[in-house]
Amino acid sequence: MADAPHLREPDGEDEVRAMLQRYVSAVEPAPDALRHIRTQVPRRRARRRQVGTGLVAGFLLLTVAAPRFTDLGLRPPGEPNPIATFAQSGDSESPSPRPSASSSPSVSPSPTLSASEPASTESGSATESGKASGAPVRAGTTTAVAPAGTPTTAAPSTSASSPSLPTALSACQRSDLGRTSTSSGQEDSRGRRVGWFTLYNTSGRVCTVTDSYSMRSVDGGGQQQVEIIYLHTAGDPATELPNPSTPSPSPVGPSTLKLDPQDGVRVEFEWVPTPSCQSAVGNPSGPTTPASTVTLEYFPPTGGAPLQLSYPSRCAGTVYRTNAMEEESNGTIETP
Amino acid sequence: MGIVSRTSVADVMVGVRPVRVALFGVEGTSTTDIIETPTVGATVDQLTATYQAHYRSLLRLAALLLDDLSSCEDVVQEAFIRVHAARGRVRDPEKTLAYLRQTVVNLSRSTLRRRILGLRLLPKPMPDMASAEEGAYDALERAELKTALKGLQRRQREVLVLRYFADMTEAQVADLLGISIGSVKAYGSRGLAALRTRMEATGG
Repeated sequence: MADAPHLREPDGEDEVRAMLQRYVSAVEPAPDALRHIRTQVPRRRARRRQVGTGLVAGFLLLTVAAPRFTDLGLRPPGEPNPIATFAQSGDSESPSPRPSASSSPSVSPSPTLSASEPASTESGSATESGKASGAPVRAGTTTAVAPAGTPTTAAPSTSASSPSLPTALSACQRSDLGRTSTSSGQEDSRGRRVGWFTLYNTSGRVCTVTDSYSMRSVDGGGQQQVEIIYLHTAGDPATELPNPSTPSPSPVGPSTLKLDPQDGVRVEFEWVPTPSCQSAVGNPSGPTTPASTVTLEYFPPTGGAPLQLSYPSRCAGTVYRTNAMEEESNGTIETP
Repeated sequence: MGIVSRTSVADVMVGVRPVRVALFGVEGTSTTDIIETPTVGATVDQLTATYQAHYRSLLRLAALLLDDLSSCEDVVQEAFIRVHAARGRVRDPEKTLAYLRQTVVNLSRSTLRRRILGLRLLPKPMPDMASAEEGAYDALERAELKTALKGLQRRQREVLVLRYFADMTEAQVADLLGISIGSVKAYGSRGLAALRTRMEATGG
């Protein structure tokens, strides 16, 4: 590197190194780069998952799922929604669709749930519900589940696709979802509230769940009427819920979520009081009707005991719910 | 990733006990210690960690592979999105950088790049490569190098940049490009010779 012309000649590897470094030394990341990546990654994952789910589910429905319906005693397509089954069975014991170990050899024995599993500290309530055959999970101040109290059904049960995930995909068992969290949210000035049901994969292995659309309201004995639980769509009155990123789930049925260890499956809901009542909620001299309790139950996609939560309302109203969403162990929610 | 977006790197480090690795280390620094310690309840923001560790160097890698600087940012962001959207690829932090580099190299090839750029809604301004302090000499060198790089064969350019900018071994380059080590050597030596010739032609 003696005189100017030769300085620029890449005689040795070190000079090439230095020259390349100098060439780009002023290149700096755009200020919004990380933010952009952050917003795009979940969308891309959702897209990937949808494509993958469609292909896998279509194939497996043809090959694996059909014979297994009878083996496992699970609900074949076209049979009534599990809600009805659960309702008829009363509340003393929940049906356990969990297959025996011998019928699903690839499902490893689920680890025993530790009683020390940390309970959630979300507002509302959180309950431990490990045993697939346990009693219904009660949250807080609820009244007994009325055996025939099934005023609602899940909305688009026509999709009736198989909740029985093939063992190749390692479907989550109820005992895999050892930690649960529910929240009935905070009532806003319009009497609305957004809450959720979440079940976390505590099994230490990856497993999958398929949304069962099984949420219902339970007659708590009050006078307030609870409308049918609708699946939330963009443009409906449930403005606080995240919009589904696509108009419909996959063509073959509800989307399947893959739960890594510590990930959760979450269903959010919004309580929307009737419009006439909404306006009166913020009014101190408002409705004279005493508050009654609305109780919601969510049946985990794996079967097993429902999660339950309650909240007071002085209005009749409608419950809207989201598709099952994935909550990553780091707290990120992914809308399918 | 909305919730996590407010998590700073400092938060990540607080949540995980053994912090032995500099997040801001040079390219090639592993973030293994942080990411592989799945402390229950800890908020491990892999994306921030990977971004801090590798984004700038990958951006500069792309700048050396691309003639048009305005697309570097798109290419590297796209690479981050792809690699992080495939969870398996960020689960093994040892390989994350390799995946990112490979994706940047692949996306930098013109056909794929056009596809990405087609998705862009707004044109971005060209980054200002020349800093105020930069002397005329550096500007001259940059202009010559740009011309010289442009004149190299695609493979030669990739090998030179990966070998001498990213400091990868011949075996690593071979693996990334899917060619033999012998080919890496050949492209490298021919590339160096071509670079020298072109720099002499323009500068000497």
